[in-house]
Amino acid sequence: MAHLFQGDRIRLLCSCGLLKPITAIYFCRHCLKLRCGNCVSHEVDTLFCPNCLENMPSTEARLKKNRCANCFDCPSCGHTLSTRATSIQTPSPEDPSKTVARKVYYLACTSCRWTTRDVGLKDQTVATGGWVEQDNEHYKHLQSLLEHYRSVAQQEKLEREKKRFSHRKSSYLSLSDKYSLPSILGRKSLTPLSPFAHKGDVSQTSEMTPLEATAEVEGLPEDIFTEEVVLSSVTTMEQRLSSPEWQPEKTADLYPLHKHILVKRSLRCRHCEHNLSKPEYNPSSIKFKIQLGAFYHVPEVRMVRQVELKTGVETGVQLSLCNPTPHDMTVALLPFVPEASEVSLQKAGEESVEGSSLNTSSLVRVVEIPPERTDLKLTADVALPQGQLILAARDDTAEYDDQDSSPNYKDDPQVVAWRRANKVGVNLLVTPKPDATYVRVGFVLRYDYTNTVATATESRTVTLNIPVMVDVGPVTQS
Amino acid sequence: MSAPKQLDPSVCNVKVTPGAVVCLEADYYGEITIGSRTVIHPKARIIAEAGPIIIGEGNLIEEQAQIINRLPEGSEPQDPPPVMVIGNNNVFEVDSYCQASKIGDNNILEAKSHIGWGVELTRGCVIGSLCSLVCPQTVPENTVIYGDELHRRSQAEKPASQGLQLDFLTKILPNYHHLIKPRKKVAA
Amino acid sequence: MELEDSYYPKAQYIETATGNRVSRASVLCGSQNIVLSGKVIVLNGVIIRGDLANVRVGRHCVISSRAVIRPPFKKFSKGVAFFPLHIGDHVYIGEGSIINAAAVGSYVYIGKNCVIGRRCVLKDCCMIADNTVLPPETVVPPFAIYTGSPARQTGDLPEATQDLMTDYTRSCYHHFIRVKDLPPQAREGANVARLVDV
Repeated sequence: MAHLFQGDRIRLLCSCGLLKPITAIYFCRHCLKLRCGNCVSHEVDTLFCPNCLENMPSTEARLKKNRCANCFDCPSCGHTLSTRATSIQTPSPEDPSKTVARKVYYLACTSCRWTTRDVGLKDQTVATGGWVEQDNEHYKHLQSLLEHYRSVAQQEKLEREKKRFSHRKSSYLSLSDKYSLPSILGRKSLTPLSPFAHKGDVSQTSEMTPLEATAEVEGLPEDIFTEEVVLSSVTTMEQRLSSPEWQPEKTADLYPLHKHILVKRSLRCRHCEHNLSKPEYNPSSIKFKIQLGAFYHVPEVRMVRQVELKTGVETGVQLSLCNPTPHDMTVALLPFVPEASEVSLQKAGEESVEGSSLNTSSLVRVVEIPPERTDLKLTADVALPQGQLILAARDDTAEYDDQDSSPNYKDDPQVVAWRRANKVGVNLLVTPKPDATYVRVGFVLRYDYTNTVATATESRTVTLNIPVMVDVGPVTQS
Repeated sequence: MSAPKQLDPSVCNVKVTPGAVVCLEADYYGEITIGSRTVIHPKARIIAEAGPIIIGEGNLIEEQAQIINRLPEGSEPQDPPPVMVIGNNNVFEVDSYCQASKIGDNNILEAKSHIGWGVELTRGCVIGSLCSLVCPQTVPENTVIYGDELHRRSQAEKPASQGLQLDFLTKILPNYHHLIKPRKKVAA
Repeated sequence: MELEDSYYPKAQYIETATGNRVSRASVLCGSQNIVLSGKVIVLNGVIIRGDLANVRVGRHCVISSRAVIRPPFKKFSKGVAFFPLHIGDHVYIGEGSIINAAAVGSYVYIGKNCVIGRRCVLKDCCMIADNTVLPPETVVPPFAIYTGSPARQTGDLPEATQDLMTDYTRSCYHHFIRVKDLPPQAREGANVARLVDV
């Protein structure tokens, strides 16, 4: 298993300066740059409950405080509660003397065996939807406070708008350009501007009496020092804080919690506003409408096996390069200079800042991510193979083809260790530096990227350089 | 096809009460008595090394479960040899390990649970998956032990009985596995 | 890292027409109810209980040693029934894990020593870390990583998981090489001349 998600060994340098494994990086086809999770904007695509896998529209989610209506978590251990049914004998409504079997439902946790009967909740007669919400004694007060502040906020906004419009009535045209449609959309989270609607309206602010603070606090009960604490009836901090509204202190007050809903997110490049990853609507589906991961566009570098490294000893390390695209790819390994890359990142950062100010029609708030500074210290010298290597195109039908029909490439046997389908094994020589405890090696991967969505003006094949850092392993003291 | 093999009497002595379904493919060693309505799945291991094991009625012992009567390392052999008594209606799920000296009724040892020597289970206890009890102790009635940190809590009622499952297994296991025939009388 | 070659002696494994490689030391009860869809590796010590209900395992799965695959049961008022267990394609099941699930999707990675409870549903592209306990009736959504006991979601899998798992299980199968006889030094590791049986 070890190599499957062991992304930490081989990392690519993203355009924002962070080192990330290839599975965590996306490739923007329009900017022709790498983007990682840190420099893309995340947008919520769909919300769904992890238990029932049902979609929930975002408005409903906001009302329900991002919780599922039907699924509950055990307050004791946090696992999902399952509904169990038993049948009881009750006197039938028509004829009191006869008893009729009726199904009643209760919730039970399968991991800690907590049930709703443990806290005295009555069994429900319906399978779902029967569990009543707990009453919060401060609910009314909180609602009236919210109303009050809402009306205060409205008033303030009206006053602000009045001031602004009365000032610059002459330059109305320029005003509408400044506060044109895109900026309104950009302020999605605020309530929409509608100065014309409320111009004549002055809403009444409800009068709220502020609460008075007192210095007197109810004293502790006398028996808190003498009474023995029964640990099993006192809730743990985790149990208490998982329901922050009530924070029950006794286990007898624990109530089932509604399950949190999860999010499917879509990712968008901040510079060119194109989507990098867009999942499907259905929560159970694993397909993507748009999937521009680096895994599919950038050659994947993997270490073939673990080697033992000694200080000063030149050891051979084998890397495998895999071509994920359906085109033949020419690859070269170039030396990597950490200082040069930092300078280029700074430049790239400045250029992008200038570029974004020209970008007026942006639907998304363009927030510039300052380039990160990562530790790019190399602790070993590496002898890279010279010259270019050709990687064959990826062929999905090769699995079913019994013959190994790969065209013969003239490979330098010292450089190319093996070649199989679209993979090539490359030999490197690594010499750990004298004071290194952990060998970290870097090189720049130059490859051709064939753009399938190129327009007539752009060239179809572009040469791209990506710095790659390889953690070869610890150095054993010789 | 050779005749179905029976157990090697020099290695083990298994007394099966009529009504029990005991698969031949399990590992047995030593003196074992099995009560009626008990089901033992293939690939279970019942090792009565230090002394005999008496298994009660209505128990369910699943595959890879290990019930071992063995004294801890370094202790002298006791006289008389310690008997491991297992009560009725217990469930030993897959890959559970039991070295307890005494187990009562209606207990459940969930998958991959581990009970060391000296532990005593009373009634209605549930030892959760991947939980291990190593220190000698007596587990009170209706206790549930669960989770990474081996939390305990007591539950209001004892776990549901497995009677229906036992009936089902009694019907279908003989179709697929060889069983140990019950002995009508104990060999002299 | 790429996978190392792993050798198995011809005598200890059965290779079927569809390319399944089943160890003779594994126990397949009720084998007429077990369907292995092709190129499935079943290592030694595995117990598959086909006698309880049908078990269907998808293509290119890897079932590591001592795993137990057991269909779950459901209690009805009229009795108990064992439900068929479907495992999807390209699933890796780690050593010693107990799978009692109702359904396991495709491209799932299950670690070592896990306990998947009764009637759990594992959707496609999820990962269960080593030593986790999934209590009964848990639903694991896609791209989730579950750890701990009781299991909670601790991380997300990358979008490329489907291709990663496909590549991984295919290379597991490819590197599982049959030899005529396992030389005694082979247990130590690499640098052994391998005899490949054609």
